Amino acid sequence: MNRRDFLKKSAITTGMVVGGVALSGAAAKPMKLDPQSIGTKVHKGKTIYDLMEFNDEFVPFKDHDTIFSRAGMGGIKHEHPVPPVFFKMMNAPKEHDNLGNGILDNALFNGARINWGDTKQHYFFRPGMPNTVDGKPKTFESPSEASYYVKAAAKFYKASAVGICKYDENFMYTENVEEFKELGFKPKSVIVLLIQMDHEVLRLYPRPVAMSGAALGYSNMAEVSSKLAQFLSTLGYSSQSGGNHHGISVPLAISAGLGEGSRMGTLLHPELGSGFRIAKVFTEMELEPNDPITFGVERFCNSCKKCADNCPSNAVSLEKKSFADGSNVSTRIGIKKWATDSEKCFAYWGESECDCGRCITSCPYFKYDNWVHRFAKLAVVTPGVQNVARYVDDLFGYGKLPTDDLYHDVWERLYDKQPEKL
Amino acid sequence: MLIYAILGGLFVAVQFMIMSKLKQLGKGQIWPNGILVLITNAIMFFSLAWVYGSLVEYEVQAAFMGLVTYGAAGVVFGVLAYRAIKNDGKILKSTKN
Repeated sequence: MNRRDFLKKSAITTGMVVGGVALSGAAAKPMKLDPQSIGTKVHKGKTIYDLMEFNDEFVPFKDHDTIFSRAGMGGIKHEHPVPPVFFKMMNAPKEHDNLGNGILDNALFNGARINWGDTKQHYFFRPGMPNTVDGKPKTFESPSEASYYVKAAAKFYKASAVGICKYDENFMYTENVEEFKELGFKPKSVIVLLIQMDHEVLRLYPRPVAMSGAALGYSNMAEVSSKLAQFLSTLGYSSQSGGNHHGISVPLAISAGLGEGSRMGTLLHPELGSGFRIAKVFTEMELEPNDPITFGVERFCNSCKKCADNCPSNAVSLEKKSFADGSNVSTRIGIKKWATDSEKCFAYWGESECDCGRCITSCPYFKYDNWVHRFAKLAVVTPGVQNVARYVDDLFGYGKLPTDDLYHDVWERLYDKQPEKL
Repeated sequence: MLIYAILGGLFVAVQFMIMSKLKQLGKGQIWPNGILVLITNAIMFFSLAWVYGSLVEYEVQAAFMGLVTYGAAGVVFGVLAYRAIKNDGKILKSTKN
């Protein structure tokens, strides 16, 4: 081999390695903390009150008025046209070989929901513990420094995303259901945690086995938030972990800079879509709040409406944002938003004997976190392209009802899942 | 991950081989030949990577649509590159000739 050939072959080899590494890097999964996706605008110094419209009717929301409370869950009995019979399916699967609704699916769900936080035993109030050095709470140079350690700990406990907002009475429930009474201390900050639900299983909605994805999300949110509450307590600050209770998750998450409210009533995160659950930790610790973010959800949801078109109960509105008139007590008044009809939604759960997440799984933002969809999102944030994004999404076949093949494939994929590596 | 690494490596190798061949033929100029070959090659490998990425998600329709749309774009650039190479750097033949 002469010098020229050697240089040529070296160049080819180097090029192959560099090209390969570049593409491999594109397939890596980044940790989602403080979303800084392309197209995301951080509103420095602003709050949720600057980004959303409120009117004089706005008052804190009663826990008694949530659809779950009204349906008799959480220790309070309120009348509702349809009782919460959606658990019936899982307690009594219909057929052995009914795809997505059989004994295997029932078992998967029951295992996933083992710690799903429907009682206060799954969430922990931790009074601040005196530390062993001087008996005083651990102090930090600044709230910013404290936030750094709290976010790092949340990441360690496997939160998919974390944000911080100031404690705000306006977004705390009043008239809490019996299981979740007052916090017992005056919090200064709220740490909002997003816990990603299993994409593989969730995409099987409306087949009942998909409930396993939500159930596992509930179990994980109880676990992650309680670990973080314990972390804060050990530093000397009283802390209370919570799932759906104590405070209203979506506005707290918007305040914590984790995303925007969507047409389907859920939080939309720039990378996770709505395929997550929201947990909170209320703490006495003074932390630096995140700034709220926007990434074009208002414009996107105005034109897309895919969730509304796919909602089997027509509970997702096709209209523009508006102030609710109060005719449905479970729909909050005083905030201009897309109002979902939780009575219709929950009635469908009862009729189908299963919960439903078709709005979440049909949303164009509900995608695997890989380079294919990151590339597609570049198009979505491009001005003018947003309006056609939904049609391209349909054309590529995303968000369709699951087939029998997909059901079998999901079990295969669960079997093939690789353990997470450090 | 390994598949993407292999595709990335193949992309670089194919580009290098085509450009070496063009240089041997005395048609290795960067514009338009080199650039058009690069764009064609990049789009073709991108569409292959898209197909693989979509099939991994069991999104068969997305895989085919990706192949059709990105592949079609690759074919268009491929034709332009072919014509440029054939006509010594002129992308489009004069209709008069």
